[in-house]
Amino acid sequence: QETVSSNFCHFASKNHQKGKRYFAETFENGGQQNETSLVSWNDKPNEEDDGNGPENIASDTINNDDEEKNHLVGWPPIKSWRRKLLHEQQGGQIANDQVLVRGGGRTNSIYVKVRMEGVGIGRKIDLKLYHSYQTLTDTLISMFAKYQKIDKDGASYTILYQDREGDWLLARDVPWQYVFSNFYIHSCLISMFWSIKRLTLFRKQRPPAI
Amino acid sequence: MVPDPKRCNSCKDSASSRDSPEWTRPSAFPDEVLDRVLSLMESHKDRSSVSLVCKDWYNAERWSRSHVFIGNCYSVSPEIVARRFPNIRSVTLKGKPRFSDFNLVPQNWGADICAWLAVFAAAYPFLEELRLKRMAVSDESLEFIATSFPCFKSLSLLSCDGFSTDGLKSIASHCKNLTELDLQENVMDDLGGGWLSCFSENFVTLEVLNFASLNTDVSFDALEALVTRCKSLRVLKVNKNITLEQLQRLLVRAPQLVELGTGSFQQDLMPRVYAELESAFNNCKNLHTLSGLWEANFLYLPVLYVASASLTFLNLSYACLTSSELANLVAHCPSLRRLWFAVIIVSKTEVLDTVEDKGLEAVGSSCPLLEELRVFPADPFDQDIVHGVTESGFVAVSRGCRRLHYVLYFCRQMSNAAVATIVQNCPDFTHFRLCIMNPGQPDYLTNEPMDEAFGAVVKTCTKLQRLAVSGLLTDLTFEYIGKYAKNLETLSVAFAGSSDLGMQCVLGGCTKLRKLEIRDCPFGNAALLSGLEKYESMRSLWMSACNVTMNGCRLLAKEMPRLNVEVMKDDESDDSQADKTGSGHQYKIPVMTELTCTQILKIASLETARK
Repeated sequence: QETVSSNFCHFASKNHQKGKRYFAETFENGGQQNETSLVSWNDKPNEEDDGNGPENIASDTINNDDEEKNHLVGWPPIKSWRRKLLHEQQGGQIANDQVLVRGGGRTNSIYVKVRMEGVGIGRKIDLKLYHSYQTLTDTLISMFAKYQKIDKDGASYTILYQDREGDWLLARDVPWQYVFSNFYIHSCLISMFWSIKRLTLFRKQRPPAI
Repeated sequence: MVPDPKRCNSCKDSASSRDSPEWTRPSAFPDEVLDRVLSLMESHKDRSSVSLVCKDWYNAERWSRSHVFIGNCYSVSPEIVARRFPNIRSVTLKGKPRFSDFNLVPQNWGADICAWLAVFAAAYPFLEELRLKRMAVSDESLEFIATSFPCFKSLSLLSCDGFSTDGLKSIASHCKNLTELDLQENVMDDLGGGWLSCFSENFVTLEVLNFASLNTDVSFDALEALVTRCKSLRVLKVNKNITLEQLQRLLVRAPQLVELGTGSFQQDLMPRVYAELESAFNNCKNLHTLSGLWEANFLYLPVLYVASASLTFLNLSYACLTSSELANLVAHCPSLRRLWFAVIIVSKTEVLDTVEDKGLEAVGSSCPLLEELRVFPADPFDQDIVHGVTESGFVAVSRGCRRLHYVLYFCRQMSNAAVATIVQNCPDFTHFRLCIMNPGQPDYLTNEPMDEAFGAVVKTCTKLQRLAVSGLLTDLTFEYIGKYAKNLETLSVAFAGSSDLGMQCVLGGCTKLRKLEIRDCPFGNAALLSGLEKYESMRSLWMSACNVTMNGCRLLAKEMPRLNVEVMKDDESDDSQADKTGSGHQYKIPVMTELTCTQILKIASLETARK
């Protein structure tokens, strides 16, 4: 990461110097505009790039001399609308537990609260990120391992979920393995996801204390 | 057979003399044959060649041409076009330099369609088609088009700016024979979706409708009615405000669609509706292209699988797919020829899918027919995110997809060895656009410049037409390009090279070069002026943040008076005495050349010789 930043600054300052150098050369004739076949934008100074209206992405208009370690203008070469889109899609930030929490206005994520039996602190996860029961369990265990000493073996834990009506159901009952092959069960799964409010991680040996 | 002197008068002026063997052969084709042959000729390059043969062929060609392509709107005036080609029905016009896409060209630079339309209205009252790219188009111009050309059928606006949905209202209201309305990537004012409702209830001719890039709602009832009565509709790309349920209703009305751009691909659906959606996709037997898919994820993508087997082009730029979602989807797309997607970073932990290359590995194994791949980066401006696709994803695709010939690849690390492997696997590249996102970054394994990577590309890929280079590059890269890239037509260079020699090599060696765009390179006046003769055969040259001075540009303009040489200042001071601010200024020099001027001059010299 540091290499990236230092290269970045190096280029920014290099351009800055470059600009100064041939700026001087250009006005070696004392800044006179001679009659040439050259079309120069100097002729209409007031009409030039003051396009900072709302329809423009203000930070991307032509600028120079940015003190901050900011983007080079027009680099990387991605069209404005696509840059905006990519930025929105990525959204959020990297949280401490290193799971990306998606933010932004897009309803792309399916957040649910997660609690572990015996742990006071609850967490929140995005169900969208998990494609199998196993990865979900593994992640939850990693997440809660900090708070309580637990066996890394996920087999001793089970996931319960509470649906809209407040009933606690075993997540195992959801046929994850059929998700991609059977659209009907799959469509039930979609309904389930939309209705999930809470997940809880419980040890298998003891009955859940609801 | 004795050649007819009256017919082949101008052939006197051609290279061959009267006594040469060519002259004693039977003369040129009879008119009827020539006209017939020409009527089958569509490529504008071929037609340009035909027009250079002799005066008769020039005339036959110009009378028979119905479509004109103007790659640089400043290379020729509309009056000259109208004078030369009397029977045009379709015009393609390109305006601003490509770097305007990246905000390197000032606002109000030009490329206004207005002057062209005025000439066309007089010369081509039966104009049917306008395809504009990077032109400035106002609402008044759109209204002018709608009201001046009664036969108008087809409007395509790509990366244009200056209009609003009000202009679209004019088109919808007046163009009774419209078959195509294609709006892509324009900078426009979206004032509301009422424009769609301006199509009359009797209007049935639409074949192509693309409003994916518009943000506001259109009346769904109007859209559904339009889709229902336009039985020839084959391309429909809606915007993200159209829901899955609405999409299902549209698909039921238009199972004949060949290209579909969906709206939002996520909605709380009852199982019955989900089943209906899948059934609707199942009925679209001709679907080859799919795009849109906003907010799609693994829960909803399976509905597409019934239609995926015949997909040839999948544009996932708007979908936020993770690697495993991508992998699952492409596993159902064995016929895929073209794939565009954007990388989404999921996580840094090992528990989840973290290696974004995995998606590309799946592409390599699932899509053996793939010819084109475009990979856009995860949030390109977040310096904290260091993950994304690496070279290994690209290598994986090249191993599985031997027919790959077009690639646009953004990445954060690359090595010379990887690129060498890639082109070894896929030697047929025609378009190789590699963007290592950190400017001037060396080979991450060896810390050397990336010269050998691009050397390998140009040596191995003899059909290469378009090349974009990146990473740490010395003049050696450009020596390679000049020496080997004999079919190269377009070259993009940024933050590269060591001296004037680099640019000189390219200008001297790439005989077919048409477009050269350079930014932030140490090329100066000597390099600029080394290409004097070359520029006449090129469409355009762009140089910004290089070492070229105003004097260099003046000299270029003086030596080559037929070229449009333009210098743009990019500072925000409204004052021509730029030295006052004291800050660094960058002079941009887009050199727009007279593309067709050479050809016109050649013909003119034949004319004068005859007199």
